[in-house]
Amino acid sequence: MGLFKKLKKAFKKVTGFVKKVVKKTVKAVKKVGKKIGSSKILKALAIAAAVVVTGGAALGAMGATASAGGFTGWMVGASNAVTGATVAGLNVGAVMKPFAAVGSAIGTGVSAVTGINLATPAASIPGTIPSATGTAATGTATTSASTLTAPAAITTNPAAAAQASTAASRGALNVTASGLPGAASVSSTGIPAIGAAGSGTLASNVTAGMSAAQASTVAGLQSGAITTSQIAAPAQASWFARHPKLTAAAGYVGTTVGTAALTGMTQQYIAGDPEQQGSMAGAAVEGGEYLDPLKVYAAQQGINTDDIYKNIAYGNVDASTQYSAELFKQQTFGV
Amino acid sequence: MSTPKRQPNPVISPSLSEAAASSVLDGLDAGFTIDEIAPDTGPKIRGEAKFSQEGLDELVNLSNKGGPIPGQSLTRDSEDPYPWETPPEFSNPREALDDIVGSIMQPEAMKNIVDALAKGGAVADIGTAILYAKFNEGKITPDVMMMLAEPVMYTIMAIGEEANIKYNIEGNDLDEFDEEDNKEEFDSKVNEFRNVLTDIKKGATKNIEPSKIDSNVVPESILAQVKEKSPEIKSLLSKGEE
Repeated sequence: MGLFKKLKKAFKKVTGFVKKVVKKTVKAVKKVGKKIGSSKILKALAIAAAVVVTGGAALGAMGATASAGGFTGWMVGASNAVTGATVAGLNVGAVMKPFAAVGSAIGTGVSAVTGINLATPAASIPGTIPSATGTAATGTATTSASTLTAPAAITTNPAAAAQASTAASRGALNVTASGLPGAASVSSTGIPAIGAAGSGTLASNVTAGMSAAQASTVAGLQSGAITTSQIAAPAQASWFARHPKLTAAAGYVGTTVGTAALTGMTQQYIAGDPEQQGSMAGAAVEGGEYLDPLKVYAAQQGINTDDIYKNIAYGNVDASTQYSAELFKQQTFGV
Repeated sequence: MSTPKRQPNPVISPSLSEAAASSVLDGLDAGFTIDEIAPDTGPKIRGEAKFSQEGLDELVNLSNKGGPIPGQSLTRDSEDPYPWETPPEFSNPREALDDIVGSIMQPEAMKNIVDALAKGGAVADIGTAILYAKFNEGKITPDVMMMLAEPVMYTIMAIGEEANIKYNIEGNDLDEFDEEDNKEEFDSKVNEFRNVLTDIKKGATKNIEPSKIDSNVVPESILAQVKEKSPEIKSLLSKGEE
């Protein structure tokens, strides 16, 4: 038999199994005393299975009615309840999240899907352009006059574009070209000239209380006889430049002391704290594997943790909880 | 909405179907009603498969194209293998499931799945096609493909349920569960009728006492026939035959 025929046969088996379980569940539910249609139970099973596979992320992504709390929330809540679960006294729940493996990935992949209502897929699939108007892309025609609006026409000539932009800005600000004061109309009337005669002038106020030399400098500046570059103070060399021998000695001492201190610190860090017995050396940084309580437990029990998650299991608890199950605790060989 | 009486019991199973079934039964036991677990969203769209001559012709044409010649794969350059001939991208089924369910949940993929279900495509066929495509891309091995058949099918079923479609699981079995429901209902009614009939018969036999029957109403000859044909009722304390 070829591979594909085998696969087809195997798929048929799986389908048959699914149907069998549905029928079994229908019988079980009816046994409880509830008269419910099989299709309803099938729906419940599909919802429960989707929750188990994706941790509720799938239903949430679809905007499902079932995702709005209720049974789904109750089921997903189980994963949160596991947060406090302990295995052999170790808090496994803090590390493991039963649904996280699949659910988290869907959450990232389906973020764009959120809000889909599959009952009306054509209307709500993201990516379709909404019929609503007034979006940001169409401009802000309705905003107030003071808002700067981009010029409607986009020209290829930069000069024309700049002109249009200026005109648009002016228009938006309600300022016309004629409204701007001309250069000729601005006069210096009312502004006291520096050095004008008479008491109360700026010059007299500035020079009052100055020494004779300072006053003469100011007067020179006012008359234009002295420029600012001429009165600039000569640059002075730094203390280190003026004392090169001392600087070199201090640099040597600083380097030596710093190196010694750093060496001591590093050695102490590597050696660790001698007062704490059994503690790890300072430089021995713990890897993630030491922090994983399940791995610690598994290592003590001689269990390969990689195998737990290679064998796929479904439910509302982590596969690791099986460790604490009675089956794994019972005595298998006794003398 | 009723408040559950308790937290869910831990459920873990190697089969998704069983885990889901346990979860549903656990939910019912905790106080949820089936309407809360599976809310009613009105009449469903019937995803009935419609067979046409064109479809059949296409299928015949495809099968007439033939398959590879035995040993054809061995003639291929080993330096240029097919994706499925190389080590798979995912050897861990959990990672593979993560990837596949993630790709199913993309908007375009979901739209296509809903379309297919509404047109009568079966869940098993869609699931097979998805998984086979992943195998063809060299993402999974055939073993992992088989392991993921169940969760992928359930994911498609969940999409169908959310889209309010009455879908086929395998072939054209749209009304299979409903027919079973009807059959069960019919059988239970027939059984009820039989029980009632038996009760009536028993009750009637008990009440018929030939001595009490008015001879004017029932002639003596008929009474004699009844006596002859009906079983003789003996007291438990009566003397038995020797």
